[in-house]
Amino acid sequence: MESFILLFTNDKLLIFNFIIILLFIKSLSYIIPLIIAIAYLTLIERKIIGSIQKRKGPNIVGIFGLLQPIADGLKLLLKETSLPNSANIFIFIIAPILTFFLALCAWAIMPFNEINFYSNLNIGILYLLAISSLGVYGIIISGWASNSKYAFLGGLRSAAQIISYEVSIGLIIINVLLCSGTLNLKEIVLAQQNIWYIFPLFPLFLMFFISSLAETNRSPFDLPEAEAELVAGYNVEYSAMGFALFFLGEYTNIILISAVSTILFLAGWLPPFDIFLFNWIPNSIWFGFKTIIILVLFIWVRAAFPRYRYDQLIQLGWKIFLPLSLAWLMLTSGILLSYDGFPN
Amino acid sequence: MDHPPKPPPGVYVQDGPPPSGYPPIDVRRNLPRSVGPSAVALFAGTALMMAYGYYRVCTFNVHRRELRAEWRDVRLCIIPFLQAEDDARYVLTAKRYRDWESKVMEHVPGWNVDESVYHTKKYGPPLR
Repeated sequence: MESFILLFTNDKLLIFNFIIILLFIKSLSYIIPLIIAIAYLTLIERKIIGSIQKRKGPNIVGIFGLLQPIADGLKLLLKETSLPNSANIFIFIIAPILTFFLALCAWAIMPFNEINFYSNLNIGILYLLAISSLGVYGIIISGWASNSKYAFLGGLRSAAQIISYEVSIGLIIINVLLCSGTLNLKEIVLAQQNIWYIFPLFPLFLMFFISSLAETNRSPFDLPEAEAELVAGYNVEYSAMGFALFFLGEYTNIILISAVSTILFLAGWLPPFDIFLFNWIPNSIWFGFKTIIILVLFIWVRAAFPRYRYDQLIQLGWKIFLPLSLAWLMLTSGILLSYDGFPN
Repeated sequence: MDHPPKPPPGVYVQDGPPPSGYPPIDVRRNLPRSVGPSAVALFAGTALMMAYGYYRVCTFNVHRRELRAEWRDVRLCIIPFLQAEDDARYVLTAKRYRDWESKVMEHVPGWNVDESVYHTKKYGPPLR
């Protein structure tokens, strides 16, 4: 206890303490807006799906339903956290924490601007792929720890779906890396100053979008967590905070993958045209605007398309997207080699 | 549609088709082509857009390579000047240390200022 107090009162460690406090405030400045964004994403989703279905979304709690996410969050907080008697309690509790923790970790390398980022990692893309691969553990652990048939099956299906589409996502990203020559997210954006990568790699952008729908268990690839199909899948035994954490983790992943699509294909924070009117808008606003476009696409697809059957889902991942992305990799490297277009 | 006249009471009339029959029903398949460009037009348009995109990517990558080479050349050109400055600073500092050492050790008999502190004749880089 005395040594802990000395840590903060010792003059020689003053700079160290100052840095720790600064890092803490910086982390909070990223996490708190992100959680507010997730909360209001749920409201936007319900409003947009309502509009598509010719009805209003939530509009009772607060004006235009603006307090609905707060009501939802409060409801989940105040509910009883039920722990099944036969469940493995330790890993039952760890699973949602792990999912949300990993989803938040991935935001550490996201550049909102040329100067505004938490950490400028030179192997940013590798870090993102590693985090998304680790995210599968949360799902498998929750499915196993629930000690329920439906949860277990849902967990297995979800995990198999995620790893299937991760392969094609990785190959699509390699195409972008060939064109940009770097794994650093900031440099990938700067490499798109001349042309956004959505133009040469448009079919890949479509494949990346569809694979990211499957990666985040979104419609039409949400069979593992559909209520009618599998009684809500791997999170069937979770209530209150556990469910809230899974929910938060899923929506964090959705926003994350939208932001990654923006960085890889839509030139991140760069304005569409480098002229006077477009330059007046701050770069971070452009980044947010493009991410929101992708998020609206996610929601639109959820409202518009019926669900894929599980075998169709897996077949799409392995027999269509994987060969296509592999073939596109050869096309891209062939074109860059023939016309001396490699960046290094 | 003209309704048939009401039959007199007690007479049974069966509901049936009109005497001249119904008009023919068109049961042919109706799948109109979707609105917008044709598949060929979409494919050609995408291919053209991709070709233009790859052209811009290749030209910009050439420009980036040249820019990176230019920065590398600038750093290589400036290195001798930086090294010369560093060498001059070292010589000045070494002289100052030697002068200070001779001043401090002037009363010590048998002390050589420029003598090596090591007992080997093998070359070792100077301590900075």
